[in-house]
Amino acid sequence: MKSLLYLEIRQLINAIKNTTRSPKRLIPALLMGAWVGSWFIHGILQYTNAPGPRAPSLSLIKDIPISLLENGVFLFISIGSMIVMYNAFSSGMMIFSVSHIDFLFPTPIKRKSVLLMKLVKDYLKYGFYVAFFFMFMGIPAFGALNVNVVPSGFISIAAVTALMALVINLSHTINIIFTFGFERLKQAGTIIKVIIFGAPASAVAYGLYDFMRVGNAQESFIQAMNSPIINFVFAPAHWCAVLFLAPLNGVTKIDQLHLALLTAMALISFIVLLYRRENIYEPALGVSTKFAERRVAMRTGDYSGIRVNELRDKGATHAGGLSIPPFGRGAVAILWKSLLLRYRLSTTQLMMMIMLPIVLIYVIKVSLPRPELLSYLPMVLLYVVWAMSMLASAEMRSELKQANILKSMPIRAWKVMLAQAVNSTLYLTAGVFVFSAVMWILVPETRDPDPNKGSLLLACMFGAPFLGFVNVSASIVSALLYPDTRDPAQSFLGGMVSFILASLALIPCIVIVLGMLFALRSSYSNIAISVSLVNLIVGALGVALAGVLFHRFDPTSD
Amino acid sequence: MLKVTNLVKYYKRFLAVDGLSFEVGDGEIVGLLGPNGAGKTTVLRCVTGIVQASEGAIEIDGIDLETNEEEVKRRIAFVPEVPTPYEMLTVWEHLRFIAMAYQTMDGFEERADAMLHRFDLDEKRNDLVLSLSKGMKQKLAIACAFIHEARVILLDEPLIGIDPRGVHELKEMISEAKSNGKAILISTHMLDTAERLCDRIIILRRGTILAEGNLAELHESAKMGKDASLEDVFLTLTEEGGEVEITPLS
Ligand SMILES: Nc1ncnc2c1ncn2[C@@H]1O[C@H](COP(=O)(O)OP(=O)(O)OP(=O)(O)O)[C@@H](O)[C@H]1O
Ligand SMILES: [Mg+2]
Repeated sequence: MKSLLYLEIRQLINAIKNTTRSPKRLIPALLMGAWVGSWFIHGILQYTNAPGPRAPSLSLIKDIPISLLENGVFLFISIGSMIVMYNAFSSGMMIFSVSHIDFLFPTPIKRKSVLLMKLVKDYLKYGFYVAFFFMFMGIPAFGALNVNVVPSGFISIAAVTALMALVINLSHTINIIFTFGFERLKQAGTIIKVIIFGAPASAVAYGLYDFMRVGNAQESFIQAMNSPIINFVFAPAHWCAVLFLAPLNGVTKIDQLHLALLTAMALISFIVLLYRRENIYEPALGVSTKFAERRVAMRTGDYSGIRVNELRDKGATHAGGLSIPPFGRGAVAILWKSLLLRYRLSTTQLMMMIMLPIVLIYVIKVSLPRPELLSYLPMVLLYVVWAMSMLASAEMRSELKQANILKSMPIRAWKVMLAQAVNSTLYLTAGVFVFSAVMWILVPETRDPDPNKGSLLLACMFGAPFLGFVNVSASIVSALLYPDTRDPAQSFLGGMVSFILASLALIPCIVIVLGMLFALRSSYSNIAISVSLVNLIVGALGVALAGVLFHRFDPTSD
Repeated sequence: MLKVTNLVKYYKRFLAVDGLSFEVGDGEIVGLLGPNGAGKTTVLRCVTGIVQASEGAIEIDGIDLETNEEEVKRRIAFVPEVPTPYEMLTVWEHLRFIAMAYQTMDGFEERADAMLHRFDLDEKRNDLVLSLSKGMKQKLAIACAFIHEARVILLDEPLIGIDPRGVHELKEMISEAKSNGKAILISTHMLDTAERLCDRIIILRRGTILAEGNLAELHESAKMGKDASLEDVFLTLTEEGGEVEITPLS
């Protein structure tokens, strides 16, 4: 135990020292700290001052009956718990670092001590996450309802943490048992799985039956959530949902009892887990290595790396689906490769490209307070392009992983960067066109051209990709400046630089648009053409700058 | 002395090691060879208690791993395959942590100094591990294994990525350990090293022993002449589907 403490404490001290020693890491860390701190203070001030009207969008919640809210939270919690427990049968969640596997597991330190340390650290982490989440989401939400979150907020946090600990202890236990008794316990496993899935199925049936009888969807939903089987199997999740809303409901004697029960269950499951005699290292082995790979990919912002890991886990060996036939030479071939990889790796992203516009536009359409504004909806395209193009810097970073290959090719640096920028811009353009089509279909107001100025939709549709090109090149520049995002502080800085550059690139556009719109009263199409020309030039400058940076980029330095 | 009897290891349903028995005597160096996925790492992980043997017994100096895990582990030094040491410890702290974990703090400073000197890591002693090169990390892992007095030394491909001087030092240390009467088991793909360093060689394929013995005995089981190299023997024996006569276990 002493050596374990030594390990933890030294690592912590060194990590802090390592951060404070380099300004490059310290400044972003301080910025982040300040940001979190200000939220915290804001949260505290919120209930010492008399609560005023704020966060108008959240007033929506006010109209939702508490029982519906409660059941919503319950649904969320129980589905989450269900998924976690179900996965535990096949893969573990007890994730150790690879260093632990290599250096800690072979030592004669008792497995129980290692497990105890691990679990305690995990509980602290969950508690912290829950508190953090509550601070950022809960306080503003409850604040908008003029509800005091102290002290009942602590009950919310405690209840959720206890439930999380319970669920995770149970799934660790399940996983340990089933790792070693895979064949022997197959039937028992099936029975448990049937129960886990049978309960919600029964609830759905119950709810549907009620709906057919009564015909009130909301009422039936609540009925289903409170059906007897659900009430029994998911009782802890139910208590937790009620307790989570303690700031709204207040805390009754029964609630206190439930909190005590939840805590007791978490404790008991903890003790049961701690006294398992199996070798807990083994279930941790495979999942930890996998997780380590994924974490490296995540930290480097290498999204294609993450996707590749996922595909490998699924056992993919062939590239399925359609393929983009090869074309081009030199830099154009790079463009082909990027388009193909992007298409192959992010089918979900492509699905999003179609689903997101439909959902977003529908939501805007129904919730816009002044319908006459709908004819200006195409402006949203510009915002979407601006926001989405920030993702280009993540793509660039994963591309830089192959900088060794790219840099050794006999292709000029700026052409490589141009291929990269065009790749991202083409995807943005496709997105813009889908968006425009959805708008045209769903919002008739956007169809008719303005008698004096022409069609805003067409102008935005053809102007947005050029704006995207500028933003993409800005993002690429920031990725080249901060290629390594393994360090969270640096990636924070990289994100900020990307944001600042993209905003700067926006200035000429804004000036021209405002000038032409109000001073010259030009038509939309003329504005779009002029702005696009300017954007093309600014974007080209960005690509040239990226080329210079890429030329100097040293792929070996970490 | 390390004694493995009828070791079977399933990962869930996958049979990785299938009824392996062998011994490594005191003062003996045994090489564990075999194609990728043969089960070498799995055997070493079972012996170190990182994974749990599905069947069979593992004993060191007559102490059983199953019933007396901590005692057995204290007698083992292990160099993992592609080690990942704790990045947020300094080199010195890393050695210290390992010594603490094995409860061998007496004379730690001198031993650690000597070890760092041997592996040319003097200058790095107060640097964080994250600043070390790949080969230096490997050297640190070896230093960690030798920092405590083990009876059995297990090395999983220890020679990868180390510079010639490091390789020389490691071989020296292995020889010293041998003359101090320790049992040494090395998994490796470097056949020439295995040929020169090891007293005995075990060739695995798909979790079973294909052949075992010194070079002469291996020649015999591969039905080859005396002047055939270990490489020839290995290639002949591990050829899939080849008719192989398995030598009886000693
Ligand atoms: N944690 C694990 N879960 C499931 N299967 C595993 C696990 N670890 C190893 N295996 C499988 O067990 C078999 C033996 O693997 P092992 O790592 O022991 O081979 P090896 O002889 O060390 O190979 P190499 O020479 O590549 O290091 C392989 O087929 C591997 O896929
Ligand atoms: Mg191996």
